[in-house]
Amino acid sequence: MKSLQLLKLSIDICFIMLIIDVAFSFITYTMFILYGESFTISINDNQKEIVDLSFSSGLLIISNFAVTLVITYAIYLLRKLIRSFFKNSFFIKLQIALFRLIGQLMVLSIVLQLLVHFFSTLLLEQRVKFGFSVESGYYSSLFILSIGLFFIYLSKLFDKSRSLQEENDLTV
Amino acid sequence: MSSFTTPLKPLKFFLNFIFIVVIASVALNIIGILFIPIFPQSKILLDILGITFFRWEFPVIALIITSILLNLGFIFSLHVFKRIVSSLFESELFNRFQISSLNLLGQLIILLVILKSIHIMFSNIVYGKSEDLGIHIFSFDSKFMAICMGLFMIYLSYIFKKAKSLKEENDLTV
Repeated sequence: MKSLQLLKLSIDICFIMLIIDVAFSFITYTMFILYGESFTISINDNQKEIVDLSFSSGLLIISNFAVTLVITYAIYLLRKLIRSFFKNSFFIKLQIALFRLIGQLMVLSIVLQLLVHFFSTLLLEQRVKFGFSVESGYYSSLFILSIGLFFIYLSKLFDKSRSLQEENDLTV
Repeated sequence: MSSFTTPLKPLKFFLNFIFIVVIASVALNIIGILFIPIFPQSKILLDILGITFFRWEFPVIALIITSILLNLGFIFSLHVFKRIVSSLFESELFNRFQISSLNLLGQLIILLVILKSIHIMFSNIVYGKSEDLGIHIFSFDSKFMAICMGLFMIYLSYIFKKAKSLKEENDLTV
């Protein structure tokens, strides 16, 4: 399967870039905290400037970082799932569990991102703003939310196919 | 079978929601274009269309038309996705329709992501913006991730094909 090779390659690139990004942002955050300068963090494409370090802004940085970690973990799991397809074994228990977990993590990350976004505008700009970004097509949070739910559903489908396969093996 | 229905309800709801929002935005764009000859200096109108200035020139018009076409493509791909979900819900599993639709959806996603990047590149040239085309990597919403999803859908169609043959074998032995 050519598409599987391509998929593996692009997931690998995605994962490596994400890891570099996480490491880089961790280093810059700690550097800025140590030197106490004002700096900007990007949440959902919005640049927010943090002027002074207080309890709330520190919490914001940590939660923003946690969201990134959740996403990294989900992509790591996706990588694992795709690798499991390479062994030419389908509908195994690992795949069912991974599908479910990835779907749940996707939904969780979107919800967390929304919460962080909401609280960051509340704390840093002292105003209430709540919304989805929808215009950008496949990058919109709603689309990713539905993909996450689709993954959870796929885990159930795989579960069904697994019982089908077992039945098949038994009759033979 | 009741456990199967649980995650499908919200999935359907979200798909419908995105569907409506995207259709509304495309409709708004088209209406905005119809109004442009009347109010060529309107700032709000340009904000809605996502352009910085308007002139009766070929590149500007072409960009607006391609952005509408891209949005229409997005609506079509969502429609395919919706059809897949409802087919998984209502008709039997692993039929030929689902296999071909998943394949189509994957190809559409990849095609549209690539076309959209090209569109953004051209619009930056026309409007003279210096926004970089670089890949935004911080989360799921990167171009790479969207292409991965497209490839994943194509691969899923392959898995469905496998499951279909498995099921047919099963039915034959019984």
